[in-house]
Amino acid sequence: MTSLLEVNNISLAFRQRTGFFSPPQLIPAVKSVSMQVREGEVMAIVGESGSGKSTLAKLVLRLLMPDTGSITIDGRPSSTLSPRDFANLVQPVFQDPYSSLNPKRTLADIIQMPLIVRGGVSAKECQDRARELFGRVGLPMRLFHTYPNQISGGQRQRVAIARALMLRPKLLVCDEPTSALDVSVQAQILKLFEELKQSFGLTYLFISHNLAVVERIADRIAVMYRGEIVEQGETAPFFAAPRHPYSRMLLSSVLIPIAGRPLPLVSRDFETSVSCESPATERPIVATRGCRP
Amino acid sequence: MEEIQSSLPAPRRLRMRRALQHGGFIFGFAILFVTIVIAIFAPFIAPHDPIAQNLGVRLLPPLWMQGGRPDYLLGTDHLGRDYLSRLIYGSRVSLIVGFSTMLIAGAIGSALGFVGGYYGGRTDDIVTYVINCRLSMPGLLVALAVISLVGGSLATIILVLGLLFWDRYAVVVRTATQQVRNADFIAAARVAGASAPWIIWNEIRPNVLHHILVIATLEMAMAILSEASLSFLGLGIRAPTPSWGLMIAEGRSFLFAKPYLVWVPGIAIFLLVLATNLLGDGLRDLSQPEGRR
Repeated sequence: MTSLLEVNNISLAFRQRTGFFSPPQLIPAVKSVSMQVREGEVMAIVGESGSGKSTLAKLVLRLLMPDTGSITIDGRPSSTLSPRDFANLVQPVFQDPYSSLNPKRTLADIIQMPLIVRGGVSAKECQDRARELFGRVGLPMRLFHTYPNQISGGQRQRVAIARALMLRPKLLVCDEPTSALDVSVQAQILKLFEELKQSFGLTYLFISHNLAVVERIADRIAVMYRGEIVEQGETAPFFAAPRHPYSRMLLSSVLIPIAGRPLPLVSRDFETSVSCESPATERPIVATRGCRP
Repeated sequence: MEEIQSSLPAPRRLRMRRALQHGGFIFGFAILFVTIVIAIFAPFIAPHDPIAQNLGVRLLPPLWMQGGRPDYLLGTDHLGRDYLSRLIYGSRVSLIVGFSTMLIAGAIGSALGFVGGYYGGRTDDIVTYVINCRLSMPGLLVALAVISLVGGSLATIILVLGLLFWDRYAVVVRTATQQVRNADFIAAARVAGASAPWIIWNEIRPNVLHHILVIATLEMAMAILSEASLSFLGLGIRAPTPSWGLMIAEGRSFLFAKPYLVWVPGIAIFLLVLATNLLGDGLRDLSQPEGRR
């Protein structure tokens, strides 16, 4: 298997101005991250809030430009691809299905958008393809000409998936695609992702903080912590024996519904093993605070 | 398209129903509509030539007052011109100034607002600076100065008002654009390879349009009033062309003897401005979300 996506040593720091005269402060979001996603696999990125997962997704989607490092997609440097070629290879599915669909356009328009932007097909062909995908993602045809506010969150996410498939891309970058949905709908959407992967030969870069979701869908896992990938590996061995202390903490913080089992006690021992020299490390981290009772 | 007769009520139809229940909207719309019809068909409606003088019938009072004559329903002015005909033709000036100013100012202001709001950063700084420059100028005073230099005519009034009163469009469109800009559906369009103008026109404009419409009606009322003020001051429409502001100015010297020369055009201005304002308020109320995103 060849690698479809290669991320080489990529870094990005956000500049934040604290005062009018003070120099901008650098907040590193992604620090020399490297990874490969092979064709046809599901690569999951896990980590707590603020660990840089979404920033990495935006970098892969070219919504942000890296400070250093490079990204290669399908053997070609991502930065040299034309917007059109890039769109044909990579498409996004976002976290919030409310923000990802334009409230003033019909579902039909939303799904057709990427193909209308790319051009090269007749309006009829474009609509036919949108209709076909509309059915493929499990939406009833009577909703085709309705507006996003008339459908549910799960249905909205199906629309977002249909839009992402409109250009028949090879790679879907899914930034927490199920975290805004309730659990039963999550399961349906995950099932849909699995089916579509088979029938369209897709590769996923799947970002999530939900380990149960990841265990089900991912072939390989990369754990991000404070902008770095601290561990990567195959899913099954990872869940059986995580190597990095942060991965162990992440796994032990999962709540499993067993009667009589108390809230997990999360050890912070690993903190000492991670180097702490960047300004980002001074900030309290939301998720770790949330782990404590 | 026809096989999927959506069972959900279309938002358009819902909005129509709400519009018909909105008193102010109906009132404003009705008056504006009637005025437009009168202005278009003025030559067929007006009983006399609005600029034909007949010194034999000077200063006739309206029909219902003592000495009124049925062939001069609203009486005559100091030159014996039929007041009703002048009122009817005067509506043309008010409406042309109102609509043209609205179009010119709306185009300038919205364009600035879209560009500043979408691009942000340096571009936005420049746009904000231009808006602030405009806001620091007293609008009507500048209009007075320019028109007294260039000379008053319909075209000058429209141009000067149009080039001056775009500030509210710019401010509101810029803010509204900023709110939409970071939504995920914009990111999806960018990944699909859409250009900035495409995104502004197809994704942002539908979300900002109702703001523009509301301001447009309010600004139209403002332009109508400005034209009346300028004409009243002798800087606007040149006699003998009938304009409501000019009619008030000419009737001013007879204010105590023949007050109807002032209040008849005064009521016309009042009603038209009230109607456009009510229409604007109605549009604002109708575009409120009310459970609809």
